[in-house]
Amino acid sequence: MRIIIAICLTLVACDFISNKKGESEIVGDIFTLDSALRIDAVSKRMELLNTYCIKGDIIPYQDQLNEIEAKAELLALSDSRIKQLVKDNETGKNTRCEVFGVYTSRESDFAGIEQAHKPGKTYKVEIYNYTLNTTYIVMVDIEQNKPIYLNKLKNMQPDLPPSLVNLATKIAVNTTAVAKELGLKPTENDAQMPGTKTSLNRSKCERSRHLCVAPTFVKGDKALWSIVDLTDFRVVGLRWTNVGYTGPAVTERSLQNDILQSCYCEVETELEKDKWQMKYMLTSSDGLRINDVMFNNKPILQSAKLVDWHVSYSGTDGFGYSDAVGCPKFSHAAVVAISKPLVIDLVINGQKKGFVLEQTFASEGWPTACNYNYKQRYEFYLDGSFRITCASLGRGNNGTYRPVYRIALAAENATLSSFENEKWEIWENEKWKLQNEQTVYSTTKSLYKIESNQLKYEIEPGQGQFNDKGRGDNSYLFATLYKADEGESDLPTIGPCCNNDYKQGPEKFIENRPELIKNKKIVLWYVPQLKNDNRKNSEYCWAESENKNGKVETTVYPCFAGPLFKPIK
Amino acid sequence: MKWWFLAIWVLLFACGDNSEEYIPFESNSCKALPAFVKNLGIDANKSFFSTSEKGYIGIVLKYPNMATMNWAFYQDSTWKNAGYLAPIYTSPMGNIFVAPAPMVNVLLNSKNNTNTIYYIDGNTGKLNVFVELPKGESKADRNPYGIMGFTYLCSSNTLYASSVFESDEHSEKGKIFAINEETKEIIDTYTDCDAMGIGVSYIGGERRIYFGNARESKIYSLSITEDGKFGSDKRLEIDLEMVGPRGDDKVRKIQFTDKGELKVYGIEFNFNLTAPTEKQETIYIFKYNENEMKWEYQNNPSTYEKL
Repeated sequence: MRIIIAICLTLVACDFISNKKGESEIVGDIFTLDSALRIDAVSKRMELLNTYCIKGDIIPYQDQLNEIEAKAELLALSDSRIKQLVKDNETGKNTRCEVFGVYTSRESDFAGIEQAHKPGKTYKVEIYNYTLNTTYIVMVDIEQNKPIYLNKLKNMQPDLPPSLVNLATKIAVNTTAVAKELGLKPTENDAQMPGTKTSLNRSKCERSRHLCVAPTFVKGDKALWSIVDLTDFRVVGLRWTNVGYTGPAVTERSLQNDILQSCYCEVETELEKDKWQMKYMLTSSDGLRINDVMFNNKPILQSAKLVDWHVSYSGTDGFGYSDAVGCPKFSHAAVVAISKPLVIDLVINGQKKGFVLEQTFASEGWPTACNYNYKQRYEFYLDGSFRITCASLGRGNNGTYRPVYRIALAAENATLSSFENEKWEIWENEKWKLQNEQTVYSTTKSLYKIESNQLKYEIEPGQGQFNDKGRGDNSYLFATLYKADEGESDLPTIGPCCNNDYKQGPEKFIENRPELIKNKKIVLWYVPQLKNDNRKNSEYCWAESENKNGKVETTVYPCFAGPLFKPIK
Repeated sequence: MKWWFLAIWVLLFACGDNSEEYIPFESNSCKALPAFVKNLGIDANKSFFSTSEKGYIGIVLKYPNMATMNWAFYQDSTWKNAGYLAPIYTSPMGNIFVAPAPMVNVLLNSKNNTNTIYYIDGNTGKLNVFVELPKGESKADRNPYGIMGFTYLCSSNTLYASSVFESDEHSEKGKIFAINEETKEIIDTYTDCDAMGIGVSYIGGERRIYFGNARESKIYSLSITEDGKFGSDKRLEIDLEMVGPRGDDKVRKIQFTDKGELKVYGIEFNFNLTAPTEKQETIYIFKYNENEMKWEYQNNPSTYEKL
């Protein structure tokens, strides 16, 4: 069986976003799954980048230079030390480098440098490395016929040459979402100052670390910023501001943060699909929470959410972190939401079986070392089944991840059973159970069963059977009596990072005096245990980046875990 | 998580001056060496207090062990009583002021104590509460932070503490408190300002407190009187927007150097608990142009490589 998640997004509109001080109305959108725009200008550009990258050369300036500027560029590009900048020292592979500008130097360029400034005799050649997102400034002495200084500025981007300004504008005007926002397809002349770093259209892509700029279109008293990624050749976000807007620049991160904060952290979104109804929202520290979940108009869940990620490292005793995931700003999240919740059709063997609600949380810089990416995924099936899952996509090694899910059932009088010694045994009181290699499952692969007048579900923990490359959950399941003050609102941090036993936090609601849960409203706490692996061909909870012809591509090895709830017929 | 990266983090601190909370005793004109350090037999001139050492909760004293040619650490049993700490300031009385701040999570740092200033008594070496700042309404679920930074006015023995305890996304309710170190009395409060890094300057013949805003990439200043009280002439000094690798850095720390330069430590900050190991810090140097009466951004000459 092969599960395919169709790239068919139901973009949940959040058409109206008020800014933080409520001074003006701002409308915007962010895009995540688009590929490079297919237009001739982009194809030519990609070909140029590929050709030079394969040869291991720096792309020379693509616009007009005067004679002396051309000489400065030639002196820089023919120097063996400058040529070496194309090589990535870490991988030995070629990167994508291009001359963005050649300028006469100014007095201030020589501040702190021992060589005196020689007006008209020294030139600055600015080179941008797309692969490493680094700017190189080469100071060239025309009199001495050689480069004299090199400045490497990591994560810095120079001003764009006219050819790239034009390309950014072409991408913006040919993007459907831009035309849709403006009400008609704009012309390239409609874009305002796309390449300058002045008021209207300064922008950055801080998270992807790509080269970005914001061609801006004025319509009446409003201006539409379109953030164009010139590394991937696509529009990554749109935002309306007032003309004459003097607030912070609209950038990839600021746009993502503002949209997520306003549309998903402050308000619930209602979702009705395939006989399922629910509300969802991003929380301060409990990930993407779903509320009031119903199937065929029958209440199933009061709420479900991801309380913590407990990550312990075996390399150092007791060392690790309790990471919360949640809203990007004003939150308790250590790893923050970076994209909108996605609603995706769930297709198995070519047939639609339901849909997925998915959220990504990531640290800046992932998948570089010490930066993390977590996914939360709720699967809802046409037959009333549902699965609550999450995964780590790395990237720390020798770690065991223990996500803590809280699942509050809607039924007021439920009974929980577990499969013990070939039969179902009812849980009278609050307690916990570990799923391990010795665990015996029912003939339907289930380990737990929840029954009430309203709902009847078997619960099937992950044993590697879900075709999502999961290797089994090895989970703890805690059952507690529902109490609003035991986690119905945001739980900051439920437990420490590094306990290797059942002490993951929920036990504090059980110990001392386990309460009766039979025929009561029950909360399930599900804690899988996932050991990461970075060995070649057995990667798990991991990600690898590779320089492919100067373009950084990431392969992920997620470790999805979580139980499937199956309705009992 | 991330232990091997922390090792690199520590190494970076040892090599450069981008350390988060290291206060070299000799660098500030009115700071005094804490007497208890000498009593421990540790050379105070080569020692540092740190609140960001891997494996340590609270604050440690870091000193060179000449026998092993490595760093050694001293921690009194009281120094972890307030959970994780962040800002540090050493006063002319030799007291070391610190304030709690959550690290990655709030397991050891309840919101309630984030507005309490603690100090290590310069004589006894014990950590005590210095003063609990007025708290007002807590926005614990939306903002885990309280005290963000310290600075000091030597002429009046005034400790300044910036706090964002009452702020949330929609309301900037931060305060800068001016506290007399001897009497522990709050002598003045500047309100409705979410300041993070703060510093005192005498540039241009004026006594002013500089503060980086935690919500925007800007540094403002405000005059202060000789006895440490706030004026009302807030002005913008530096706009860091689109400057540096991220373009939206918030100012974590402000230092005025002996050369008359302003050293600004910028980080990404969004009132969340993103791990400090993931945060890249950039140091921005500004020089005051007295003719134009404004701060000018300086190149960092150390990044130039002679060919």
